[in-house]
Amino acid sequence: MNGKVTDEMLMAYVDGELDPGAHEEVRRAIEGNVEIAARAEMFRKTRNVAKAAFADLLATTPPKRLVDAIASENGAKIVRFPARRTIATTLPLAASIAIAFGLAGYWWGQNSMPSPEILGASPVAAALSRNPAGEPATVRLGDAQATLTALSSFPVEGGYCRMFELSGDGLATAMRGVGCGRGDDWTIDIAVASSGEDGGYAPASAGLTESIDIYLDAKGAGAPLSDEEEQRTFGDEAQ
Amino acid sequence: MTDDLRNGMIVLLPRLRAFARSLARSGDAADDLVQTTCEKALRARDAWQPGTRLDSWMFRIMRNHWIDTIRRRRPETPIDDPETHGDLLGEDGEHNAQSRLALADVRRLINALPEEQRSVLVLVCVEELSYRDAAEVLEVPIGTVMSRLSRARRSLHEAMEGTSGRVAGASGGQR
Repeated sequence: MNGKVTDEMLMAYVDGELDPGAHEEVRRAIEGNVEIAARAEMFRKTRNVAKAAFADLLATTPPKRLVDAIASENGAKIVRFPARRTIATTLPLAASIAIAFGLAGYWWGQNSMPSPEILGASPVAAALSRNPAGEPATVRLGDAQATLTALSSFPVEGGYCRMFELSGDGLATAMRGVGCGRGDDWTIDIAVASSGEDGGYAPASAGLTESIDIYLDAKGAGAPLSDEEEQRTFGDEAQ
Repeated sequence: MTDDLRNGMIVLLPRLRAFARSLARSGDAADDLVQTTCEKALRARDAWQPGTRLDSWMFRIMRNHWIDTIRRRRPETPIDDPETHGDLLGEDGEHNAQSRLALADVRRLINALPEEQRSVLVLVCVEELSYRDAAEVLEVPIGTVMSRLSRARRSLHEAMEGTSGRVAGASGGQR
């Protein structure tokens, strides 16, 4: 090999980072020169010794707290938006549902929202049967147009419940709700005014979010679907 | 994907801990760093592209977070920790001639390297990242990876020679 064989070339040789041509050139240079061979040996040795110094750590079972930080419900709350809290309640399930519906009814009364019947018959329910979470869909409500975005989906017995956000100029205020169903058969179970600005993802007030949580808990909702599952269940190829 | 991501992260834990140990030098601080990294990665999971390397992505999150924390906490990082050398010098006399450098001592020598050198050393030699992947984690050109890595290994070599040379010298210079 012509010219000086640099440290970096020798190191890249030892680390297997050279293309075949350069690798062969360096190999010959090492064979023909003791000083070059010694330098290459230094890079080989330091690689091995560094690896060995961490071998025990790499072989050690990680502490439980780190596994928990990844796998726990706590972690699940972090990754899905909106956060769904598990509410410890001593109320019977039926009472919880009544509270949830009561709150929803209250909001309908206060805000002249579309009634549950209109929502149920409208393309809102139909839009819930497709469209993966996070992908806004346009729905027509009479003359007005609104954007529905599914926020997350939870498996329940006999299908899914999906939390959604509905916003648009045609609505007095942005809404958040839950619809449940399977296949093409969907109903809107809860719809409440969200306190955020129209179209935004500002969280609804604590009480309203809680009512949705209670409702989902009462329905026995499981962990939210992953993005992949969303695509499989509600994406284009699902139908 | 969420479950795949979580599983991938759990499988990566030992390697995350090793890299964390090269940044934060105490075990507890390193594990705290791992935990924060995992939490940040879960929050930012939309930014991870499936099919790309999860390890590189998480190493990058970890290092960026660590650098941010260090910068906030104190104006500069001691490049060479005098206590590290103190330990080594103190323990030298206890080695007998035949003993190799204990691996814990090697770790201390690595810890004595400047951060930019020990990061790249651990990423390539311990985590077995390619130069290209290490460059992405560290957000520097490959040439910089190579020059830092070369200097790190030469420094480590000289420190090992110096330490074992002194020990071996007591019994006739055999290594």
